[in-house]
Amino acid sequence: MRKALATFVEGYWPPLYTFVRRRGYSSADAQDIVQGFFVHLLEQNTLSRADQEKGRLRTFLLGSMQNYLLKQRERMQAVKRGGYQQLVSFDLHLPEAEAAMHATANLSDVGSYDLAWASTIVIRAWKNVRERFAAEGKLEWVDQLRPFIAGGATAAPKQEEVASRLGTSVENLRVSLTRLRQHYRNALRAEVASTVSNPGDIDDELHYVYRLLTS
Amino acid sequence: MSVVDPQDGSVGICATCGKSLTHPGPDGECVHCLVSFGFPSEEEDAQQEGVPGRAIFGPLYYGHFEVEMNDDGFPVVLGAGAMGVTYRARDTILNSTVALKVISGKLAENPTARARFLREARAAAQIRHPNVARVTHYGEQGGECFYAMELVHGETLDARVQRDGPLPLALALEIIEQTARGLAAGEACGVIHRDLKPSNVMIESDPSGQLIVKIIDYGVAKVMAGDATVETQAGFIGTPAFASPEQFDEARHQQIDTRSDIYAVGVTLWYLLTGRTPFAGRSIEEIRARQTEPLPLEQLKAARAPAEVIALLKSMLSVDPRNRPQTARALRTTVHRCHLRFEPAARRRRKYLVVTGGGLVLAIIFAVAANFFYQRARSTSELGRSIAVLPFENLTPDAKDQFLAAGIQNEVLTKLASLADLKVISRTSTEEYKSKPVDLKAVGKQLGVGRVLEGSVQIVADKVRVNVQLIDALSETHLWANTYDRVFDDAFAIETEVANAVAQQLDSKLTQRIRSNRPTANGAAYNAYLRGVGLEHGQANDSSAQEAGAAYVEAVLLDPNFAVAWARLSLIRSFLYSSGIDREANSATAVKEAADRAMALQPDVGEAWLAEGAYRSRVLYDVPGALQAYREAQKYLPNSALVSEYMCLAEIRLGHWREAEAHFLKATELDPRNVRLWAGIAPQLFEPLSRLADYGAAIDRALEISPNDEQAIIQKASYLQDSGRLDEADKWLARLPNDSTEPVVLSVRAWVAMYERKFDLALFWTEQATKSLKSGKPLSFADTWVLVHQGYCQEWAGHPDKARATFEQVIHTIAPTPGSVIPSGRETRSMLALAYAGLGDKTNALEQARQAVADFDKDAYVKPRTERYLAEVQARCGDIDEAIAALPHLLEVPNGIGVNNLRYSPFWDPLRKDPRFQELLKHPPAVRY
Repeated sequence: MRKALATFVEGYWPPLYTFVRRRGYSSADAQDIVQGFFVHLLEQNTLSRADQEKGRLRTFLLGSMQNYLLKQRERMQAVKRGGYQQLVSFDLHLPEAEAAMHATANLSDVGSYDLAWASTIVIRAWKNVRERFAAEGKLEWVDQLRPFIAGGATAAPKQEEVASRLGTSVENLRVSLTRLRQHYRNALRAEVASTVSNPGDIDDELHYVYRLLTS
Repeated sequence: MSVVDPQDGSVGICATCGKSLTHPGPDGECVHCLVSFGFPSEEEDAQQEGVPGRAIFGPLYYGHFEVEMNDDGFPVVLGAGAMGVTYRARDTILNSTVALKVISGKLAENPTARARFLREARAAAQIRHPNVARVTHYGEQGGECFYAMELVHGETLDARVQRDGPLPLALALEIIEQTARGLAAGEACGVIHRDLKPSNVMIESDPSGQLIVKIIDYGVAKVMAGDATVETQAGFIGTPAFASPEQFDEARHQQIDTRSDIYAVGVTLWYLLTGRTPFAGRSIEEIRARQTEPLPLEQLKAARAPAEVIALLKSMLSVDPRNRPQTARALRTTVHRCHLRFEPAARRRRKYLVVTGGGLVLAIIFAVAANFFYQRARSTSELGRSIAVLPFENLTPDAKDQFLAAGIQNEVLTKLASLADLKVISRTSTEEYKSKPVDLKAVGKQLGVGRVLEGSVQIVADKVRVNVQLIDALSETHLWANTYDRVFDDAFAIETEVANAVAQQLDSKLTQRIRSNRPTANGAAYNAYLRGVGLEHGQANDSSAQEAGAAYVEAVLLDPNFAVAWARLSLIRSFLYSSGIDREANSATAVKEAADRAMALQPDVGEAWLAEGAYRSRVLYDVPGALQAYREAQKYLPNSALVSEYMCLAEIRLGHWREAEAHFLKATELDPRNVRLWAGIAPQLFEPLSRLADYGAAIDRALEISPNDEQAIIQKASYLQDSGRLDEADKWLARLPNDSTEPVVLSVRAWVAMYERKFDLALFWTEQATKSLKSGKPLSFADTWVLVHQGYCQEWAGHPDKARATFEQVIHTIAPTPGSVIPSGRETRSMLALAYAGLGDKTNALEQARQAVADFDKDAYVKPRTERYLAEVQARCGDIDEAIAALPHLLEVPNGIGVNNLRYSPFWDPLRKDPRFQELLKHPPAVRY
């Protein structure tokens, strides 16, 4: 349970952090709040009930956080730094979260949250696929193919180059890309599915994520 | 790795999509790109083409085709070869499954090859035949070419023989016969396959379990010819074991024609019978060597092939193409004979139903009609004297000689048609057939003839060569053939010779000689004339009629002595005159002038008399005089459906309905596939008689011949309206373009809307029509009708002021001053009457209405219409008793009122409550004639 929780928390803290920062809290305070929030969820046993009733995780967490913040004033005094369990380890990815927050300064608090959320989903799905291919010994392929799939700061090379680097034909390359794509689509869908309790909402949530990131 | 600059916290930009990398992945992934990767939409794929780095990755889509994926995420591959790969794909628009062939990179990169490929795909797409897998779509994407093919749900001959071993003789012959048919279809389109082999021939079962052969990958191999990058190592195209000797010889690559394909079919037949190819070898050289050696006939003997089949194979596998069957047609005939020999208790495989369009009813109608006409010529000698002259093949691709073949064919046809003892089918009905149709028996049946004449025209040096073959349609055997060579200037003289020779063949007792005069020496004039004839038989609307007229004008300008063109010009003009279109160009004088010119030039030509008759009928309203002229025309044109058509129309005008019907039937016998007869003439015959079943059947026949014919669709709607099936009428009208401005389309739309009491809608339609009316210009009859009814719709829709203005406009245009001469034109005066009635001017309304009736007292066709309008005027003006009193007569008389008109037309609303009216609706009298 602890491990599962850790994974869960690790995945979803950035959007919440962004949201709280957007609300005007300092980085230090925001970290405390997010920590406290997760503890609060754990204490309420809310997380284990998430599957049954919570509808969509994205909105559930957002709503819960908004509620939580309302009562924050009252809690402020009770908070002591480092006084409770460290559920979230911020150190590793805090700079990114900060940067992201700044970069989306033009958005509202919920807007930043949503964008961060969608990005999280998309990246988690990608990591998933990557792990799968790595398990098959094809990690090199995935990494070589990444520019065609996930863009990036540097321009993608030509397919022929990559094909010869991998020692294969362009034809085969394309087939692999197709396969990769299929996997990614499935992974993306699975990722979204894990955040909604009603399967009927999957498509809608998926499209919401898509719209958030392509508009 | 972070893309955030730690110094200033700025984020990077994705090089692929250009968006900010605000939330990069652990390795700098762009989430926007990622999500797009997971969400391919068609727009995405299209956009990606130009984006560097993103451009071409294993697409799930080619155009609007989505490649099917199996469970591992791999695409479903139907086959792969040197040229590319074939996927199973789904047409996302039609939601059907196709075979999608994607041509591989190297070939696709070469723009010349691509262009050639497109040409081939186009040619292959022309081949419409049950034995050829249809090419339905061609596309290019991301530097690749692909095309979509009919998906064959069966297996290749290859797979079949490998699985089950050699095939039984009858089955093998059946397969080869169907292959030859497919090949013949390709031949007719000028496409050579070049790579025929068992893996390119598939067999499937149709829904009734019959075997159908499908040739796939037509013409694609030809594209690669001469393209060094794609040839195999030995510089060779095609599959060696099945390739003909000339394909091995680079020097002769240009000369490869159908006979090479025939060779390949020979090897295939061998393979089907023995399970092996006759020329086995491990290398191209070995195979090539074997080809010149004697055939290993012991293999065939082991398969117990009969002598006939062995002989057939020997001929097909001759090294010298000249010793093989020369055309796919010839091959098919030979195989067919073989097949019949060895399958005498023939479960004759079903012939392809040529019925197009939908519906069991249509099929029945067609079958009945075809049989009817076929039975009419039942006796052998009668059948033997009936002939259809198919379009001649033009073997000379030079543009200026384009109409040579058409002209010669037309003349041969015309000359044959001048012989009263022969039944010769009109050009319209044969036009749509290819020069060498595959299924002659069906053609014969459809047209009701026992003989068919095929021909080809070619320029050889300075001579014109005409080659003709007379074929028995029933048995599909050649009866006679001949070749004529003439110096170019004298080309037209061939026709008389050919016609005479054919006539002699059909009936050696024919003593009447064919006249040898030519209609015109001027090729350009003749072309223009043919163009006009073509336009007349195309879409039947005012604009095509006018264009046809212009074509005839061109013809006579080029050759003022071209009598037939003058005659046809006169015919068009009189038609336009009677519709009130462009009375300036189509004045009474203009009609007469053209008719007179024709007659002066050639009084012994049927068309001149036809024109004279039409002038008398349409301009002078002298119908009996017109009939006399038509009878004269018939002497010179005994096989003219056109003359019968005009006679039909004349008899209708005189109220001789039975005679009219006889003429109509004769016309359809001579020209069974003339849409104008079914969609234009039949309604004028059946609707006035309230013979709705016949009316409907005729329109269905027209639609079966030409499903998108506008006139037929309009008539279908009209028929449904007359039958009281208004919803269906709406559905049919919806097939026509919404923005159509054809007056007749808008009139019918408005009329149906009026029946449905949708007055605002009716107004919408009438306004479309009246929008383009220019003030001051004389109105055609259709325009007047629309305007008057617009006024009434305005009133019924609750705009009395607009209605008044419209009625006044009508009156002003038709009769601006009290003493104006009312333009002639059948119902103009009646419309004027209705306009007066709309204004409440009872006196003038009744006066004009009664005068209209008097004007047409002798015209059995128009008079009842004027009587109807009189009754409408009376109803409108409050003379209820008179109106009701007129109705029984109007229901009984041909061309009076149909019962559904009474039921639905708003004009009768003032009478509806009257019990006498209701009684009539319940028990309407039948039409009497």
